[in-house]
Amino acid sequence: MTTRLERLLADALHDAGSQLAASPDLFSRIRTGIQADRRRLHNRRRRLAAGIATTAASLGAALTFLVLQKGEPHMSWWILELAAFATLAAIALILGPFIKRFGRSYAADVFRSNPSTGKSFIVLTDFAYYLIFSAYILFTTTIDRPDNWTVGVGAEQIEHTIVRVGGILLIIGLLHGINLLVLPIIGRLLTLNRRLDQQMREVAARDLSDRDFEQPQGGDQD
Amino acid sequence: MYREHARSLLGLARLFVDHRDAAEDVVQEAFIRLSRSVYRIDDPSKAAAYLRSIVLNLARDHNRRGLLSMRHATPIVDLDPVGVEETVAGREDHRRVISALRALPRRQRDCLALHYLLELPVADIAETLAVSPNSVKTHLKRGLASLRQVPDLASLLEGER
Repeated sequence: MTTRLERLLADALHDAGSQLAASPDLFSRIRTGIQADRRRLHNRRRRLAAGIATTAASLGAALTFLVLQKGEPHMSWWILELAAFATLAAIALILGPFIKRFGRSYAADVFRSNPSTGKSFIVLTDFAYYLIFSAYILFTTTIDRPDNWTVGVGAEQIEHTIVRVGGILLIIGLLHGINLLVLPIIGRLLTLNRRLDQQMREVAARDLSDRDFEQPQGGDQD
Repeated sequence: MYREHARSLLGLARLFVDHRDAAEDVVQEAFIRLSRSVYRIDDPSKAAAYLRSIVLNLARDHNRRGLLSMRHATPIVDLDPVGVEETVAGREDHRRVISALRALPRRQRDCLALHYLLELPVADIAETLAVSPNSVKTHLKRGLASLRQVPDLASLLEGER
C-alpha cells in the first residue's frame, strides 16, 4: 500500500526529473570523451612500456659493465652519469603528472567560473615545467670527465649526483609551492576581469538604448 | 544504451549535484567509465546497474573531486545554473521533499531516489548498490521514517498520522 509520503516523494522526484532534457550535444560529447579517454589510456600504456623498456635496458647495460670489466665489480663514471640522467628524466616525467592528478580538484575550484581557462592554464604550466626540468637536466649533464673524478665511480661523482637529484626535487617543490600560492590570485583576477567586462558591456548596451530613445527628440528640435 | 538510460541517469545525477552542467558531466564520465570496463561486464543487462552506481558515486564525490568539466568538453549551449530545488520551486511541497531527501544519509537517499525516481525494484537497487535486498529494504524503511521526522514535512503529512 502506498502511503501519502511515498506518493509525495514520487511526485516530487518525477516533477524534478520531468523538467530535465539532456543538452543536444551531450551524446556527441560522450563520444568525443570516450575517444579521448581511449587515446589517453593508449598513450599511458605506451609511455609505461617505454619507461619499463628503458629502465630494463639501462639496468642491463649497467650490470653488464659492472660485472664484466676486469672480472671484478667496477663501474665506469659514465654509467652512473647515464643512470643519473635517466633518474632525473623519470622524476620529471612521473612526478609532474602525479602531482597534477592531485591538484586537479584544487585547480577546478580556483577556475570554477571558467573551466576552459583552467584547462589551458594547466597545459601551459605543464609546458613551463617541462622546459625548466629539461633545461636543468641538460645544464647539469657531464659529457667530459672532470679532473677530480676517478675513472671508476668515486665519492665526488656520487656527491655530484646526489646534489643533482636533490636539485630537481627542490625545483619541483618550489614551483608547485609557488603555484599553490599564486593560483587563487590568478583565478580571482580572471573572475573579476570577466565580471568587469560583463558590466561594461551592460553599461554600453544601456547607453545605446538610452540614445535610441533620445534621438527622435533631437530630430524634432532640428 | 544512451537513448535508453541517459535521461534517467541525468535525473538521478541532478538530484545530488547543484548544477545541470555538473550533472551532465557526471553522466558523461559514467559512460566513459562504462566504455573502459565494458569488456569486463559479462552480462550486458548489468551495464545499466553499473552506470547507475557510477552516477551515484560520482555525484557523491562531485564536490570533493572537483569539476569534471576540467576534463570534458563544455556544452555548446549555456545550461541553466539553478539547482534542482529551484527547478521544482513551483511546487513548494515538492521543493521541501527534495530538500529533505538530499539531507538524508547517503544509502537511504540513494535507495529512495532509485526506488521512487527510477522506479527500480528492490533487486535492481541491490545490484546497483552492491548490497543485499534486505539491506535495501531496511534503508528504504529508515529513509521514509527519517523523512516523516522532518519538521518541514510535518504539515504535508498531517493526514497520514
